[in-house]
Amino acid sequence: MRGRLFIVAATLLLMLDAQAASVSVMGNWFETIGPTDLVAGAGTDLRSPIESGPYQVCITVSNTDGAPWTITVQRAGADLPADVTLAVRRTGSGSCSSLTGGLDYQTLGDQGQAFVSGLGDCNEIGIQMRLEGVSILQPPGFNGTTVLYTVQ
Amino acid sequence: MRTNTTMKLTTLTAAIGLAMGSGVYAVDTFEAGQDVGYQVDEIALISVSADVTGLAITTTVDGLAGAAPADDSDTSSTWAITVNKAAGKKVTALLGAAMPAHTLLSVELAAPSTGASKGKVGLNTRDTGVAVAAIDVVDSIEPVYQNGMQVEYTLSADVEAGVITATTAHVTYTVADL
Repeated sequence: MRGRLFIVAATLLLMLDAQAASVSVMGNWFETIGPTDLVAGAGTDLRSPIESGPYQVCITVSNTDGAPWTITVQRAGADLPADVTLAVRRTGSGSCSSLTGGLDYQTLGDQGQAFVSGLGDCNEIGIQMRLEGVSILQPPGFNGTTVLYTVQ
Repeated sequence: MRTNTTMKLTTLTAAIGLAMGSGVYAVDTFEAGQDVGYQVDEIALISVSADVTGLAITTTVDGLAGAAPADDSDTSSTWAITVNKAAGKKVTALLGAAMPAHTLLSVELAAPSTGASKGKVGLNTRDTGVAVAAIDVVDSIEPVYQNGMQVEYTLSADVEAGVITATTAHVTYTVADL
């Protein structure tokens, strides 16, 4: 009986180990848009696109045991105004031994899409974000959403 | 029997504890979220193009003696506006100082696509020249950005004004809540 229990425990451990790759995100992005963001003062719309800093967010992938992985990205939670899109791109390679994809802006939807792929643990992958379609014709106020990164 | 049950529970607890304690229990971390947001402040900006020069009354309405002085107008300047608040805005005009007595400075602003012009509006009292309070020139403005809209100034005078040397009038335009 005791032996069988150890086998069950080991199996459980292996199952957990198989989905062990984890992703963490450092940083958020909040932008305040005002009169200085008009294209050319009175009579013009807000400039577009509006970009974050090139390393606004850093992603770290760990517990990979050297295995390959892919991060998908999507928008979750609250919606942005209908004409506003949010896109992300990779601006750095971090400390990765192997990293591909994500160098061009990808517009986020509510379905996950492949973003970057790599091999093994990877620290501080730089991420930049871009808002398009913010306009003076939309009411003033706050709009926000969540960007969800999933490692597989 | 009781001993076996205790052993089973102890073993399972130890196994689960080992699994969680080893740091590989990653169900909560294979996803990570990041907040993104933006705040758009209320914007209400107005501008006018270059100053108007050369308004001058030099003749009568029919060019003959016995008629009233002829108005002079200028349409060389334009205005622009950017507004993002949906509650409605208006533009007022205010003359900075009195005009000479028996003269009248009027202005008419063409409306943006979401507003309504008030037409030609006098900025001072003709008899005394004293400036009137800020007066509406465009109202019912909803969110809009538009430029190149015409501003027309008109200078009128009565003969009682006499001969007036060149003078400058300063007009201030303000975006205000309705």
